[in-house]
Amino acid sequence: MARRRLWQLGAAFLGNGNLAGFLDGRIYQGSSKALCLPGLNCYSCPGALGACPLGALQSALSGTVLRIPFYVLGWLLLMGVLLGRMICGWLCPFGLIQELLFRLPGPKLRKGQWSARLSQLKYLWGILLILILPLLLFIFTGLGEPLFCKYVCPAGTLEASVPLLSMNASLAAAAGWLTVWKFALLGIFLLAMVFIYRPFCRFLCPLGAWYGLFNRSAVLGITVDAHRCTHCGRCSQFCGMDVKLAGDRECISCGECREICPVQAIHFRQSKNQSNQILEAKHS
Amino acid sequence: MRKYIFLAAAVLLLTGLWQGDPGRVWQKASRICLECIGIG
Repeated sequence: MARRRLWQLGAAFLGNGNLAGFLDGRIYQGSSKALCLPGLNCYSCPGALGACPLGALQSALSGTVLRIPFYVLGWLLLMGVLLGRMICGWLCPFGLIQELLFRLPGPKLRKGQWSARLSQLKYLWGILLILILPLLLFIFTGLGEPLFCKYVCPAGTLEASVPLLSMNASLAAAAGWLTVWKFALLGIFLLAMVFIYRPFCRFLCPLGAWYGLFNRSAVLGITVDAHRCTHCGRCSQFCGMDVKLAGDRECISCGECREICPVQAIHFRQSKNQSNQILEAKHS
Repeated sequence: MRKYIFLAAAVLLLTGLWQGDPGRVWQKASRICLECIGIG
C-alpha cells in the first residue's frame, strides 16, 4: 500500500477513533474536542476526537454574539504555513473518501478549462459562505448562521448525519426539508466522486482554498526546482487536480508527479538535498 | 515571510488561549449541532 494511503488511513482513524460512538449514536465529549484537527472532519461525527477547524470557525461567526475566533485563526495559519495543501492530500479523511470512490470502475471525466474555472469558485464560496453572508445575517438579523456547514458541507452529512440518523431515533424525528436537501446534495457529490477526481476538494472546499494560499511558503510540500524545470507541462497533464505547475495553489502535494518529471525537478521540500545528491550522483 | 506567518499564528493562538477559545470550541464540538449537520 502506498505510503500516502497509510497516512490518510492513519489520520482518518486517529481523528475518528471513538468507534463506540458509531454503535450508540452519540458523539465524543472528551477534552480533545477542544483541539482542532488539520483537515475537514465534522465534529458531530460520532467517531470524531477533535474539532473541524472550518466548523469551529463558523460557529464563532454564528449565533447572537460575534467574536473574533483568534484560536481557530491561529490554528489555520499554523497548519497552512506548516503543511499547506499537503493536509488535503495526506491527512484529510474526506479527501480519502473522494479518492477511494474515484477508484470505482466507470467513465472518468478529464480535467480541462471547465474544471480550471470551477476550481476558482471555491475561493468565492469560501468568502461568501464563511465570512460575508454570516456577517451580513448577523448585522441585519442579529443572528449569524454556519451557512457552509448547514447548507453545503457533504462531509458533515456523510460523517455525522448518516450515522446519527441511523443510530439515534430521536434525531431521526427531527429530520425535515433541510435534511432532504443535504442528503440530495450528498448523493450528487458521491456520484460525482466516482466520475470526477476529488470534485469537492477542487471546486468547493474553503479549507483547501485557504491552505492552498500557503503552498509556496509552507514548510512541507511539493516544490519545483526552477533551474531544472523545462516547463514541459507533464506534471500538469498527469495531475488529477487543476494544477498549472506542481506545487501551485491547487497542488495537494501527493508527490505522484515526481516520478514522471523527466528532469527530476519536483521534490518534497524536506528531501531537496537528498534529491540533489541523487541527481549529482547520476551526472557524475 | 514564513517566520512572520509563524509569529502571527503564535500571537493568534496565544490570544485565543488567553481568551478561553478552546473551551468555546469544546462546547460546540462536544454537543450534536443539528443545524451544523443539516438535520432539521
